[in-house]
Amino acid sequence: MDSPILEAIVFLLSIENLAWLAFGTIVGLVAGTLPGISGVAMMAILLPFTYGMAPQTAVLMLIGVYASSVYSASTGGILYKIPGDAAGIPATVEGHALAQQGRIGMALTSDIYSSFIGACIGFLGALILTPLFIEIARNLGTAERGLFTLFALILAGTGALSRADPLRGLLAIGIGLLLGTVGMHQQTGYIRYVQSFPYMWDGIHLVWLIVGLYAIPQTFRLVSFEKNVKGNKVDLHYDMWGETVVFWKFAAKKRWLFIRTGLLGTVIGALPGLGTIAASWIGYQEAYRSSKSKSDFGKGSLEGLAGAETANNAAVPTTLVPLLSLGIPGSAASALILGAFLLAGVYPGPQMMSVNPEMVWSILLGLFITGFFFVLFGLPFHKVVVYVTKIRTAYLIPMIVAFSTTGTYIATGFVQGLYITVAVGLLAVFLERLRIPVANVLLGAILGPIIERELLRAWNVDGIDRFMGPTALTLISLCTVLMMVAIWKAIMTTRRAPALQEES
Amino acid sequence: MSLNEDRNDILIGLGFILFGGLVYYIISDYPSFAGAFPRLIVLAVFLPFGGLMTLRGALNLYRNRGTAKAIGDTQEKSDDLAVYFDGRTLIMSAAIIASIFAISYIGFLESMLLLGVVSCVIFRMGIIHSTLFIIFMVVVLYGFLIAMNIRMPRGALGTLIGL
Repeated sequence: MDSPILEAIVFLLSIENLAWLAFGTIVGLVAGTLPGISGVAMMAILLPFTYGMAPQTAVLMLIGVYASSVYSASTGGILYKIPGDAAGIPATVEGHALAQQGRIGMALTSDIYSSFIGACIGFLGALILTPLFIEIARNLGTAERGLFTLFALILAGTGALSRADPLRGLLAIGIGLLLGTVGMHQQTGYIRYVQSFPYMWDGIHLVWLIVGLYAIPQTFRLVSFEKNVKGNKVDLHYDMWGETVVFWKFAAKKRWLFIRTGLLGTVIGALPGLGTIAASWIGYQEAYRSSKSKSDFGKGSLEGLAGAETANNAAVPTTLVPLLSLGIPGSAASALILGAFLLAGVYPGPQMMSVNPEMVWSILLGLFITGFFFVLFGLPFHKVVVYVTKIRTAYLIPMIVAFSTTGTYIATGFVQGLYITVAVGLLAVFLERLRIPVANVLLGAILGPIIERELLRAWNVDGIDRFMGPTALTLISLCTVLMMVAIWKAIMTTRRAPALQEES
Repeated sequence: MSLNEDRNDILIGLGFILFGGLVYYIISDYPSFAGAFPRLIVLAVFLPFGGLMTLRGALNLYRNRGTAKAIGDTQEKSDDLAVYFDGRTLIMSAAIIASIFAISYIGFLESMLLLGVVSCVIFRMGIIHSTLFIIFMVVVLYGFLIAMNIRMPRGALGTLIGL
């Protein structure tokens, strides 16, 4: 077989790979729907079990979890006003209001088909952007690669394109970078901080970090969510096919809304640090801006629901673009997918298109199939979703802890790894209470060693001259501008406080 | 921004400055190459941004003096998904941590079984449901470990359910 695309199709259509993708999709549907469990947390729990799997298969399964959990994050919101994660909040506002008007069938059906449309637009975007990014990445040297990674990290940390607090974001990146320096220094072999702990000489293992940052706080969070679901009663008897026809008529009439929000989501997904949450809100705002019935927003607007869900699902495929083309994860979910690659000994980046092009294509095409899978499984899933959300926390917590500890233990075989995971988990809970974003900690810890290696290598080769090329200077300027924006935003926050007081 | 948040900003900022100082002290005798990056993190991230955070908190506190509470900002939305610590959450969290630490003493399955019991008691589940769940959980975990050929710690004190 000469064509890598053909090889990817053959690989994808094997029963085993389709089964893993289907498994990931179903697990993601459940994880997104259960209050207190997000898709990212579920990916963190499953990641250690991908040891020994072919990297594409592991990544396909995780993509299935991620894509379907982004869709189903709004299902719990529509039913009970409790979204699975923050990306589901705009759809929750409109979807739950529709449900209260007795239009739950319309809300759930629109949710799934809007997500499907978004996934298709995002897939096309990823198909166009990935080779483009790879071509750009091929022209980067060591200094430029290090600086570009730094730029992506600062973009994520400062929240320059979102409304997050830049100071907290950057401090979180700092913690992550510092965690990434624990253990043996790659160039000199010097052991940093942990000379007395041989099991940490290789650094804080990725699995300890991921399970600690995501799975452990999630088990604590579940206790808080227990009281919200109990006692809610929802009637899910509706005509699925009738609602499908109504939705597609609506979609035909509002096709430009879907195209615009889908394209917005596609672009936002490709920018490091934004991801599905920002896409969801921007899609919602675009729906509001272009709507002729603005007064319906907040009271059950189908346009608002469709705009938000199309945009956040369009962002899912393109969050993988920086990872596949540059080896740089731009979000927590893509950092976990990078984890699956690294555990399998594969380093994503521009060389992948030359060395393993079929791997890139199988992942991109897998994203497309996932879109079909979550419609295929999602529509019947609506009929059982009430029972899924009724699973009691008392049963979920021990199961999650058991599988998380099993995965963590088999990753290295050290019992001490479990203790480190708990410590990282407690750190994550503490940081969450201080509203310091843990996703940035993970990005810092993963990208830190790359930045250190590339920049030191460039320095060793040619000293400061290596950083004086036009690309390197442009990247340094961009990093500086981003930092200045962060400082400016921090100062603006101090000015805004008195104005807000007057308003209140 | 509320006054509490301003105080938090000051404390967080100072905390990061102190932490940065501690890291700088620890790495002060590292070889230059091995210590360069951590030093850069302290000097370029912890100290300036910790300082800015302290400054922002202090300025806000100064401007908001005499006001009991100011309007909340948009970030409060994301707090809806953060862990809220009440008595039950604290007890359950302690039980989870204890069960993980107990693995190396009493074995994996035994500590998960105990966590299952504690969880059912804390959430006041009925005795029949609890018993059925615990049997189900042990069978699922045992089957999973056997099927995947995973050997978890047996525990220093011996094991009831040997694996």
